[in-house]
Amino acid sequence: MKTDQTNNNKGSVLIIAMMTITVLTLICATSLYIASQNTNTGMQTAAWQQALTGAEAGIDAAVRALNQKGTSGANAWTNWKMISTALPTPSPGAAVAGYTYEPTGGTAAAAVPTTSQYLYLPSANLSISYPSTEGTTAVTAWVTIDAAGGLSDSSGSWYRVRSTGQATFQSNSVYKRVSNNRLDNDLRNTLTMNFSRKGNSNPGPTRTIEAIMQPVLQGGSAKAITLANWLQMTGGGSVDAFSSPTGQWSSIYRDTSYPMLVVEGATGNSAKFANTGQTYVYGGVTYSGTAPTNVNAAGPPKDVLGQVSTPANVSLPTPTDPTPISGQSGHYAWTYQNPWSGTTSSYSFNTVATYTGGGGLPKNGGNTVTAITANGTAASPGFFIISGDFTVPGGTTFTVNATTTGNPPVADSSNSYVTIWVKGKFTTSGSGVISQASGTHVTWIIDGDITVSGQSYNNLAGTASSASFVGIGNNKFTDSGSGTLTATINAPGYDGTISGSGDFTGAIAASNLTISGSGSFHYDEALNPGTSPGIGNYAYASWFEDNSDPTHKDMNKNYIVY
Amino acid sequence: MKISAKRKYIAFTLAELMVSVACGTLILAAIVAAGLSLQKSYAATEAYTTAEGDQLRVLDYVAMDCRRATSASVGTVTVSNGITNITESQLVLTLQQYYSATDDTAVPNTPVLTSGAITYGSGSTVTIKYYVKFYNASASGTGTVGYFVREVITSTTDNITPIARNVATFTANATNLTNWVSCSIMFFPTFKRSAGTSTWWSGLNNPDTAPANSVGSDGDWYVINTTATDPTTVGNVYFKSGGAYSLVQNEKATTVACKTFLRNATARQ
Repeated sequence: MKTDQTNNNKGSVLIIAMMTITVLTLICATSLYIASQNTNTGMQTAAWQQALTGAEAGIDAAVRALNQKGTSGANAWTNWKMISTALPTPSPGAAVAGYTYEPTGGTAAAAVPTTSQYLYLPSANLSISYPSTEGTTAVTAWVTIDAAGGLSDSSGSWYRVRSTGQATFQSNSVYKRVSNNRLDNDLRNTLTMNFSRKGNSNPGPTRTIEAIMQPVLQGGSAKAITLANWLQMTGGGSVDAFSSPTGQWSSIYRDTSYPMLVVEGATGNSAKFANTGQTYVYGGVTYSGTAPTNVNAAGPPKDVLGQVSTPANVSLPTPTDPTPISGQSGHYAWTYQNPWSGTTSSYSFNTVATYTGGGGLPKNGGNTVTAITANGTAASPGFFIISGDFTVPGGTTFTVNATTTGNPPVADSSNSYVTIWVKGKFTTSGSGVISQASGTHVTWIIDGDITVSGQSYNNLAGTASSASFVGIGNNKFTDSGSGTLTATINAPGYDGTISGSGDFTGAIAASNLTISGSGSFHYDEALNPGTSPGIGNYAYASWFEDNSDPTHKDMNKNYIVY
Repeated sequence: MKISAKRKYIAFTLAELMVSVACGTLILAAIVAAGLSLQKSYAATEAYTTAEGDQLRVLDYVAMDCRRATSASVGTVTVSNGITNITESQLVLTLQQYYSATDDTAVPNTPVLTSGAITYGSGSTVTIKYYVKFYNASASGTGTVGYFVREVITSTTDNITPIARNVATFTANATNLTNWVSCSIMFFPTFKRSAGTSTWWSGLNNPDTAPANSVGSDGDWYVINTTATDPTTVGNVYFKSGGAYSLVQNEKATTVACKTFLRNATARQ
């Protein structure tokens, strides 16, 4: 009996010990399991971010290829493949090559895709691997470019770019397990990590971005009337564009599809048309901010015949005055970017004639100057400074003549260039006339208000590109009267007014503009580089991350779509 | 001989018993103390991990939706926090109707170029709202626990999903919404101060200041939100004991922030 009691005591100690060990083991196992889940969350969050970097790298690769096709096309499509079918239409729940998982095959790509093709860059060209590490062991991406059924406008074809990035875990990785928070699984699709919603066998989160790329034409972004703030049209005049071989406007050359107006609308209404039931714009209006007012309010006819679109993609360069060249007395340098052609020119003026401004015609010493000669070339124009206001009073005439002399000599009198810097206001009043001879090209740099009219500025050269007004700073310009003014006005900081019955032929870039008279505005399309300028670049028109996983539901039993 | 030998092992002497009991008591006390500390440490670590996960998740959600939004606006929403109605910021994002449906038949729509802009789904839109809403501890019904929610409104559905809990306040910046969305979310420091069954409060004053002692009960916590006039007080933590709140020294709430560029051209007008 005593022997039995001793044996029973030994047995209970063993049981207690085993139970204690079991409880401790369970506690440890639970702790380790939860700690493991927490680690999974961290690793999966990191992997999700890495997948985004992969997807963005794919987008960048596609944009690079699109942008290089015009300048170095030979290298643009290296490693890209072309498949001679349109990008497959996705089907619910189905894994589709080229859409939900990486395609294979194809031939070497050599150009942008047509509507019956799509290009793809295999993931082998967009991958980084680090196999001997904890967590993810590789980040890869594959990307497609297609025409999305033929997206295009007057600038050219638009392209859809879909890029899928994936961060890959090892096949036996513990990190492919779900995290301890269902919300993380819903967001990051980690539920799908074991079988990958993108149709391949690699475990790891994927992220897909779909971007639409729009072409940006070469040349300047300015159009017929380009305004930083607003436009108001209240008179009987209209705005149109023309493309004639002589640079002279006629309604037979009218181009109603041209994007006439670009209005940023930074301070309110982008454009306001009086509700008079007339056509104001024979072309398109591109705006940002508040939509134009009274478009077609009393139509037909339509106030704007062309397309009204948004947003405006414009960047007006700010012109500046010439600057003295250090150490070279009387020498000036000037850099100017033409907002319509987009070209930037740099000039060095080594000789300068300076006249005194004031209330009348300029003076050279005590002598009144009534004429100057455009004694330079396009690369090296003649240069004059009027130190003060430049006024052509009633009854007087100021002439800009052509020449075949100069230093360097002007080879042809039809190519006589001069730049005149007015350090004050530019005013023609009454019957005063500025006569610009045929064959001359005059650039006026004005530091003050500009007051001019068609009958007072007689541009005998005949084309808008031959008479350029460049307004510096924030001032005003006014064009009035009954004659046609043929010129361009590039004054991004100016408040402009066009009144009277005279037409305006050329282009205007300003802060805002009121057209109140019966005269019309005719844009000379020759101010842009050709009627079919090449595509200079591609810009993002749309960006969407496709994070859907509609084959699963979230914690609230809703399908994971948005 | 056998009897004597057995007696030798049958009982302890009084001294042996007292020593062993004393030693055992000390060992058990040490084990209990260590266990409690480990439990606290474990709970704090767990709470920290959860809070960190919540913070990462809200940032990922907001950033993802901002990148793909076609417009953004900031408004306000009035919600009940269990005591009173408080006004919170609300970020409203508009997305294209990118998907053909909102169930398991959903596939991406084909983009269309209309009036110079890309549209999906015939120009229909989806609205996503972010704001703070109060539920019970199970994220349902009504209660006093602050959740950061994401509401997705389509033409056929309106789903509200809590994506983080223990949120004190949400602040969205209304300036320059045609370029950036800037916002911040303040979390209660629950991993430092476990609330247990008590309640975390915030935003009962506008501008926010130290809480009135009538708020809540002993054991409750209060955090000053971003409406405070004195910016140095934002995030201050108060604890209620003996019927009065007192400032907890050297402790602040956790705030996460994001500033996301709107990548869609139509958003940057």
